[in-house]
Amino acid sequence: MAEVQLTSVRQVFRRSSGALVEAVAGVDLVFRAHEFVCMIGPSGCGKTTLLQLVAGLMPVTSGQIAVDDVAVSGPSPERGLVFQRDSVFPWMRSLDNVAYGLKCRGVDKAKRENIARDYLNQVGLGAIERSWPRELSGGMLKRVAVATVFANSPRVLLMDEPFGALDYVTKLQLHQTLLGLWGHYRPTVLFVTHDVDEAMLLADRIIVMKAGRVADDRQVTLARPRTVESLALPEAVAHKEVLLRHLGLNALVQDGKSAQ
Amino acid sequence: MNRAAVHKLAGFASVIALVALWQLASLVVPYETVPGEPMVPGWQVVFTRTFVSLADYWQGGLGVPSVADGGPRTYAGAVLAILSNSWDTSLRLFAGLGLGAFVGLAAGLAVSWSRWSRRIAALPAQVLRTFPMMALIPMFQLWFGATYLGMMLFVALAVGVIFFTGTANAVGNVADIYVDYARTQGATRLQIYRTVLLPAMFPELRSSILLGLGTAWTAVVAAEFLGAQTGLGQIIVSAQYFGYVDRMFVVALFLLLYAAITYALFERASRRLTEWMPRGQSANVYGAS
Repeated sequence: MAEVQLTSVRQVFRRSSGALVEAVAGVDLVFRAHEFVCMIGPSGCGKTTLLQLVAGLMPVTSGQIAVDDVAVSGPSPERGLVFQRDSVFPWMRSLDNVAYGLKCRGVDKAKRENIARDYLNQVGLGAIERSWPRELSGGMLKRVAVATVFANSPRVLLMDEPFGALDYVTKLQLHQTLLGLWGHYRPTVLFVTHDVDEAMLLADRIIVMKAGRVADDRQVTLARPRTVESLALPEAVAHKEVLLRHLGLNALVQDGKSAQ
Repeated sequence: MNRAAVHKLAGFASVIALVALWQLASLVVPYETVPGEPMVPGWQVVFTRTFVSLADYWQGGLGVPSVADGGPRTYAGAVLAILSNSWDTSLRLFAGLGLGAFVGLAAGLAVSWSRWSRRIAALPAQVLRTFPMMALIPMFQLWFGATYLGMMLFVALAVGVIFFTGTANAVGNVADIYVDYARTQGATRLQIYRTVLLPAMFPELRSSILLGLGTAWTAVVAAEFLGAQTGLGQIIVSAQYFGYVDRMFVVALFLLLYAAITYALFERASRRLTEWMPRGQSANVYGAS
């Protein structure tokens, strides 16, 4: 179990002009164990910053983040992060990339390579373990990154618009791969996206962020696996309409009213 | 004919042109340094009397007496002179290169440890980068005399400065995302240095390494100019004393050959170390692909 608690979390940056910017403006949230949470919101709303704070990549300005009541004080393989940009090490072959975290923790070579091979197989990349990242497509690189975080057995999985740059088909394939791994290993997932359809397909819960605050927090109780049909059910459509309004896309919704 | 062949042919043609140009210069420049010693010695001089005259720099042994002890000038003596003096110069060079590269790299990595150490090192690094190191040779002479240690340390200093500034710069240009990715996977700071920063910065460090190699050859020969008893630099200075431009020229050709060999060896190693890079970006020290 891995419950993530955010208590009055604030993050303030100083711009090069000297002006202070409050990227996260007092967020209180609890992500329950095994929950798949999508965070959605316009650019600059603080969702990526929040993810990096949970990852421990920077200290919070004030407030506290804890996983199972243990305060986050820095990065840890227990909180794996898949980045928006390609972060796979280009100087390591695929297998070595997936085995990297295990190597850092002193797992012996044969064992870590077996584990890495297993995860590469699970993301459908068993045949490319000796390839250099330069030889892989964008979708394959994302699969390597997903295999890498899962190989570290994370209790919390943080994903920062991981599939944003991928084509439609590759993105849908990766959703299935991710849902399969999540269903099997059950980490708590915090997934940042711009894409309402992606959030509807993946999430148990969708959090909308605006100007550093939580603007909405919605439970999605649609049965899994979700299909084209289930995503056309009245509950799904209702969620989608509210989310689109939050993103300012009122024109796409029948009555055109904005969300509050 | 493919592109690589054209490149090769063009390179070969330019070498032939330079050889011909030298010969032409030897014909049109009639001056002599001292009677019988041409200012620009043609290839017919270089390949006949010059090479064997290098036997003068053999200090005797292995059954070949030195010319100073009354022995004849022989090709064996000339070959031994080149080999032994090249050996002495190489020892100074590689010892200095190794020391300078190691210390420069370590110092460059060390200053990247924290924001404060980077700030503290920034100005000295900038000054050192532009400082004419050769100006320090006489000072080294006074400190260490014309000793192996002094010459080695001088090469180490000249190379070390290049490695230091190159490393500090290259580390600073490694994308943060790789460091963050390693941190979220549990890498310690030392592991990040070894497994992320070193491989990620190598492509950028390559140009500093090449500059360091070239500087090492310059520094070792320059250091030998002042009082060394052996070495290729010492032959050049002693030949200059008697106006033997042809001998200086032959030693310069050997230096050219050695520098080319070290560059080629580095290129080979560099290719292996940058095998992971996208095509067209991997190592080629001569710029052609």
